[in-house]
Amino acid sequence: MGRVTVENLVKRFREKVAVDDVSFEVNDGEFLVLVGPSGCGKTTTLRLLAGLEAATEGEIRFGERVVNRVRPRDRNVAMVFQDYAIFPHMTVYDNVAYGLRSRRTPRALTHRRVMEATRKFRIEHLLWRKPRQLSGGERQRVALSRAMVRDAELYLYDEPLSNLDAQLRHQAREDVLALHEEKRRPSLYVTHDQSEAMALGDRIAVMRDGRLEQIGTGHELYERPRNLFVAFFIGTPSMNLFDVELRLEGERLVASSGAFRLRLPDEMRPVLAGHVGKRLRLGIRPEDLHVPRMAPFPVNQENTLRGVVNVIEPTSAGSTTYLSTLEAEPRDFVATFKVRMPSTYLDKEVPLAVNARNVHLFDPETELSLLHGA
Amino acid sequence: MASESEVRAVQESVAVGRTAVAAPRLSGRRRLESWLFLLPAVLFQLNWGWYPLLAAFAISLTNAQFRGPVQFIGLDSYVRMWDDPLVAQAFKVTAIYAGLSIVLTFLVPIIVAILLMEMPRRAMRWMMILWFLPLSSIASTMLFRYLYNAQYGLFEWVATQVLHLPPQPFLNSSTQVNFWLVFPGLLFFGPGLIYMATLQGIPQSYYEAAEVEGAGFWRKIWTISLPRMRPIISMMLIFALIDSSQSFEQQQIMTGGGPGGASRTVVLYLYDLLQYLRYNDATALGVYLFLVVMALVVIYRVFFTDDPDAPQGRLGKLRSRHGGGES
Amino acid sequence: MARVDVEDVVKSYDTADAVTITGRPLRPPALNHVTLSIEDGETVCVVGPSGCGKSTLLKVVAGLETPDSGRVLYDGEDVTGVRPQERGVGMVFQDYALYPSMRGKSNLAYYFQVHRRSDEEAKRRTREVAEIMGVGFDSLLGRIPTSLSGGEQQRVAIGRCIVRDPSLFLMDEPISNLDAKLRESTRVEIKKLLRRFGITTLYVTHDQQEAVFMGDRIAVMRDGRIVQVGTFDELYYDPANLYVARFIGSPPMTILPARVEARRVTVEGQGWDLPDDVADMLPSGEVRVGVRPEGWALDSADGVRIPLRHVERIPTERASFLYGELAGASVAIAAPLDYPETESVQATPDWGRACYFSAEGEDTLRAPGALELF
Repeated sequence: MGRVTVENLVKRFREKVAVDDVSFEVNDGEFLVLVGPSGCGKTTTLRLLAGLEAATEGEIRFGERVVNRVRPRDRNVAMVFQDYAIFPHMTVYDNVAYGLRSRRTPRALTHRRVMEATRKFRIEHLLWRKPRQLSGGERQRVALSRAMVRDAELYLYDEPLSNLDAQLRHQAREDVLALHEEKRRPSLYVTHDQSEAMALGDRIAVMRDGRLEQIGTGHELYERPRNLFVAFFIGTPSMNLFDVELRLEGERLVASSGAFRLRLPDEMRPVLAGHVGKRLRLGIRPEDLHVPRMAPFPVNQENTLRGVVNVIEPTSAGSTTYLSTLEAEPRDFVATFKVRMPSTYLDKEVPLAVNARNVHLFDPETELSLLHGA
Repeated sequence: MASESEVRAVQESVAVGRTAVAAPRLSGRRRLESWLFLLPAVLFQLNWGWYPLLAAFAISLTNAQFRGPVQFIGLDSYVRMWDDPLVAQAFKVTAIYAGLSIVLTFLVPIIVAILLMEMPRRAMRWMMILWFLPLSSIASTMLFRYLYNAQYGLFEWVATQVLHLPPQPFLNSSTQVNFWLVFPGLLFFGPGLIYMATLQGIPQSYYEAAEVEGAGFWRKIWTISLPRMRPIISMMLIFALIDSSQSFEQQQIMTGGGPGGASRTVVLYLYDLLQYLRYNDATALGVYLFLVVMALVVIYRVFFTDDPDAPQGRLGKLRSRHGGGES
Repeated sequence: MARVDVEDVVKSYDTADAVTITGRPLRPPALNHVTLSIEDGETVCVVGPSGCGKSTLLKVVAGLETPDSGRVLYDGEDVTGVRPQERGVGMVFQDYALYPSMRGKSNLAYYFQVHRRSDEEAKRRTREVAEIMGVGFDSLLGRIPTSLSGGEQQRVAIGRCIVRDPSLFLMDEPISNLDAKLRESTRVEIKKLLRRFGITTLYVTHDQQEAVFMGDRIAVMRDGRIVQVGTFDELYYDPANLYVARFIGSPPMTILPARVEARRVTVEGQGWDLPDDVADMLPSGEVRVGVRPEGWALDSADGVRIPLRHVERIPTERASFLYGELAGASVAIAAPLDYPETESVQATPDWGRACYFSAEGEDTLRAPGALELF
């Protein structure tokens, strides 16, 4: 029982390092999401926890028990696979009951569990169907039911929503949360979609190239990304990045590029003092770009960025606008508004107000955040 | 609500099938083209498949004389063959041989293939290469004839010198002969390769899911490997049945049907009849054999579906409802 | 450049697994009297769940499938019997379909080889396209497809289409194989290219958000029929039926069972007066009310108490979504980003901006129509 701990986990496939010295813990009842681009080692980490791969180095503990050398069937984990891995030659009932039967659970108990789980996931009318007769959403719910009937120490999800139609994902997320709510056990969920991570995770761990970049709540990762990668990866649309030079003009700290000159708040001066005169990466979240008339702060020449509107995407609450800067080599950037941008602005040049309090600055070499460093 | 999910399932199978099933609806010209494409296959099948069959059937109803008028004699040959005690014996021998060869050369490779899958990839590849070595079946049959030889054969040496048994008759024993005829087939692992290919096609995630769900080695084989292999096992079983019911070369080369007709199969007897120019009797016997094999295949097809993923039949539904429904 | 008309097309599959031995089709037609026109230079997105016939429609337009009845017109000219290679269309598939053994450059030049054009012309066109495709495209051309990432492969695939100067672009889920993050940048890339070239485009996807982003107009399909064609605003504020209403918008519209009587609406025992323009159009009796996430007044005095399941915070949209349940229906409500975490919330639907559907069937009784801001 209790938390699951991973310490200095390393997995090498021949010369390739898939997981590189990763440590984290999943607390009892916590839903941790591992997120990263494809090939970042997140699925391998999950498989190491399930026991489907053997760790090269490091330690995995369930509670106090070290499970490195324990076979998957004896680890007592439940897993939802990306392709669901439900057996096509078995009925829904047999699929859901599989784990309990493997562990010689009494028949009556098995039956009760299966009925409860399938009722919960709205597939109780499909018990005697074979998977081929089911839709994608129904198959996914069979996989969830199979995890539901178990009393596992750890619940693992390997991108369980990625094969679903977009419209089914909202409901499926709720189903995953319902399962977690019921079990309240450590859960680890792998996805490449940061919006899924933000929606589901109590905490989120961002991985890249086998390394854990940052771990924290969605809010922490979003507001205080430790490095450029996390800053760019978390949030849709992504953070806009510009190459700037940091200058001190009298008392005023200014980040300037070919496209704009942005005055930074005075509070940043002590932190940035050592970087004056250097080239840095400036990050601006799309929602920190405002229509000047609607900006919640005074607008002047020192916080205005001009761009040409390329694409306007309507969203439920407003619009997302894709623009490019007015340089010789234009850079693309994105702004999200709470109002619907009329399509008459397409190809027009517009000024946008930057909320300088919320910008991020990164060292271009180390990619570390200067404002939210460790 | 059930109908909604049915519709969805149908839609999905449409979606799944859509790349594979992209055959355009045929316009007039394409219809002609498709017939042209079919033509060679149809001609071959008619000429070498159906024509001999029908011709044989026709001959069996005549007196089949080379000289003199060919006369229609009705079912006379069939009646004669029905009463022939050698025919009954030949069918019995064929049944024994088929039974043995299904146990030895059909079941054994399934088990071996499953066990081999647990080996490291490299060992597996070596085994497959060994089985793939091109061997002439006639030549190795000849070889086995010498191995079985009662005086200087290897088998006799192993039996007497190594195992210290009394001299064994091997092919000269009417009780053992069929076993030793089947035995070489064990070494030709053709079916095993097909099973291994099938096993390799099973998604790894099925086994992983089973393992996470607590299934052990045997349970994985019983609940995943075997059901997934069912279509191919089923097909191979029919092939094995047809094949062994027509066995001829082994017997012809090794025993000539002896001792005392103990290895004289139907086809071997048919061959003997042809030697005596009894064409009408031989073809009648051939038709009998055809009917028996046909009946076996039909019975098999009626009672077993070979698609493990198909919706359950009424029988299966009842069974699982009964099994799962008790609480 | 071309205008495309699809006129009353019916298409059933008559392949072995789709018909019984007597030739009776087992399935409803994949396309059931579909009519659609695409204006010159316009991008139309066809969107619907898997198996709705959208890919079949694309194949009929491309000429890869021959319709059972109906016609396909390019610029008013009947091309129903014209072979696909003579139609001058460029296709981009989900799986890129690059020739794997050829370098990017040869992939682009292949068309010219097949059509016996001069090397000179091939080189010139390739150079032109590389220029248009923008930064870094040149470097992709020297590499073999397997060494390219998904997004890069798709760029080469699009380049290959543009080289041949097609009159019509057909795209079948071109970005659905990509990582979420890569999808984001690739779709902007594609959209910008489409705008720059102004090529008539038919774009197929199952993701309504992608459709909204890519399409000038969107055609919603279901079961082989087009349910509605229109701009995002038309589909969003004026859905033809319940299906479209639920399909467009994320999170999806909440559908509440309600009762209308004497110009009042009742949901789970709680009643409200209906605005006059709504009340005039509704018959008395059972109805279903569709409420968009942004169509709720939070913490209102006359609100109904809705128990919440969880809160999803989306900082980029500066919004959070509250998920709960009311009258047996899943409810999604948009709230400010910093809305406090609570067990339940008091909220009133904006009855004037809600959609009303008949209790049986899916007919729209009243839709609010486009938003009038001024």
